[in-house]
Amino acid sequence: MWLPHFVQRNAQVRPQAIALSDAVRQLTWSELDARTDSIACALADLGVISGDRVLVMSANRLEVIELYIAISKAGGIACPLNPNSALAEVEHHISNIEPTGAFAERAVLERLGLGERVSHWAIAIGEDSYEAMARGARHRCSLPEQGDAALIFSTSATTGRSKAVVVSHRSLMACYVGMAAETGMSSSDIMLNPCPLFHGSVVIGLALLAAGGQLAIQRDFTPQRFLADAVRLRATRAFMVPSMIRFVMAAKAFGTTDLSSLREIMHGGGPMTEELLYEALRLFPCRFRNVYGITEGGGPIALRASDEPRPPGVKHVPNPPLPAGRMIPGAQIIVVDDEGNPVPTGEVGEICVRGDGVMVRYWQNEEATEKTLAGGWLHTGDIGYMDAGGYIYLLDRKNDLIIRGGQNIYPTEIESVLRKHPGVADVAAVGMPSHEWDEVPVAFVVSAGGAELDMVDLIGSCSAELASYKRPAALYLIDEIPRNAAGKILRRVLRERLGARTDVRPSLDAVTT
Amino acid sequence: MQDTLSPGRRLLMEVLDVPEVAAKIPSDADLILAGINSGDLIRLGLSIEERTHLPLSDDDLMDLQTVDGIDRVLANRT
Repeated sequence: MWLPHFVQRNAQVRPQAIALSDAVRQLTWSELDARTDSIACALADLGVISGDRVLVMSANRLEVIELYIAISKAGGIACPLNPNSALAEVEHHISNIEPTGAFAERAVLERLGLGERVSHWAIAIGEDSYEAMARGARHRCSLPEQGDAALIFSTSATTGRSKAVVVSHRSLMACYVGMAAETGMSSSDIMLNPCPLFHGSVVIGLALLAAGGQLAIQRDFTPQRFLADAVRLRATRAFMVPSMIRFVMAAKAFGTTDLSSLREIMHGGGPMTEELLYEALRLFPCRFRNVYGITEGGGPIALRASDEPRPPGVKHVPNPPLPAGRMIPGAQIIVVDDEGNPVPTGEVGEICVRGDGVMVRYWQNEEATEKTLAGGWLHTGDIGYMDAGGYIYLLDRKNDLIIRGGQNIYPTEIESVLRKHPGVADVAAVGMPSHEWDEVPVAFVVSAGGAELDMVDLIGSCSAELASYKRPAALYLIDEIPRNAAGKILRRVLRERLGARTDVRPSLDAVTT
Repeated sequence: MQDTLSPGRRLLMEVLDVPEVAAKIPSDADLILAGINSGDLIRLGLSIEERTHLPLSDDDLMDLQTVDGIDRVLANRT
């Protein structure tokens, strides 16, 4: 009941305060409550019942949040998906979650033929029929229970096929409790949100809304728009990935923009380097706060503000990375060995978390659910250690995940696409360090029978089947993909070859990052 | 071949990870739909600011969606 509940409560407490805004409109709490009631009624008329999945595919706009709330009020589960997803990705997701209907911007509906791909109906966000729903008859629906699913996020998976993460209303409330307690977010806050609303990090925006603050949604992130909106709205907070912070500082207008309203910039989705944090603290007039989280964990699980004293760490690690943070209230964190046993303070292992924020399950994927939630703990796949003060330090990943500017990519997603090409005999994708994105995917390709490969054509085949951020930043021709005796790709060897630039031939003059 | 490229296309090729992709995009095609990463467009905008020493306006940003649009933004700054 959490999503409908906090909207109804804020509509009673601060009806005329702004809840949501984007570049073209804004909604008060009273308007948001009324519109989401009306959309929920219209959804009920369309046959949506408790537990039905409803697909939402849109670029950032306030209707996306409006729909998450309205679908919840109708008892349904909102299923956001990247509107730039390739058709094959969308088909897989739809076949998994089996949505009753879909909301999408007109261009997305037409590009993907969504009307024919979902069971019953597809509605264009922002058009007359949508607005008619939002202004129609209104009555209160029965609220979902706290344990009911509120959202299903799509995440990358080791298999190359996305998994669907089921997040409950209880999880969203746990996120609010932890974030509000630690950050002090409140109804006086205006938070700029340039990150995609289909991403798991949207729960931070929902927490800000639950606190009664205003969520200011940016359609596309550009550093220029971020600066202009920060001034126009007198924004007090923002949530960004570290790459965005770097871009904002590089914009021409940065030095002359009045950012004095900003109190705190939260950042997550990838590691913040010490050099970037130092530069950001020197140039921005506000505090920074690292948010360490995972979609399966219901979002944030640990936080660290830049004005907290640097913890001493542990004696046997002389040059530790910046700590990711300490557990937020409600998220119990431990570090375990390969057998799942907790390790002593300072010992390296896998970071695990439990609490109300943790996902309910993966949708229709019992095997992955059991593995990820083994022993009642969410196994994050992150390798690190905890010091005596409870600070988490991240060192590595247990799996082969590549994180490009906060977006997750598994190598198998890229490999399965390239492997279909008739000129490709074998392929392996790895992450390559990038100054701007922290990491970008690159692929090593073995040509079939020495065939001449048109690398632009290969990149083109990726564009057709993968969202653009998953496309390899470079392709390398190689004679043989290194594998162990069991046939497993030795990605570490490939990364080392990439670093040394030996034994590989760049296929394109492409490595500019 | 290089000489026949418009200034906008040349700049786009400079900022892309895979410049050959930019060479094949029609001048009026939507860059995102043509497979260009939104992050590449951010780098493109910053690169224009760097070269022209002028911040981009919102109208400029709206125009940076096609190769023709990049040419217009560059032309307006010279």
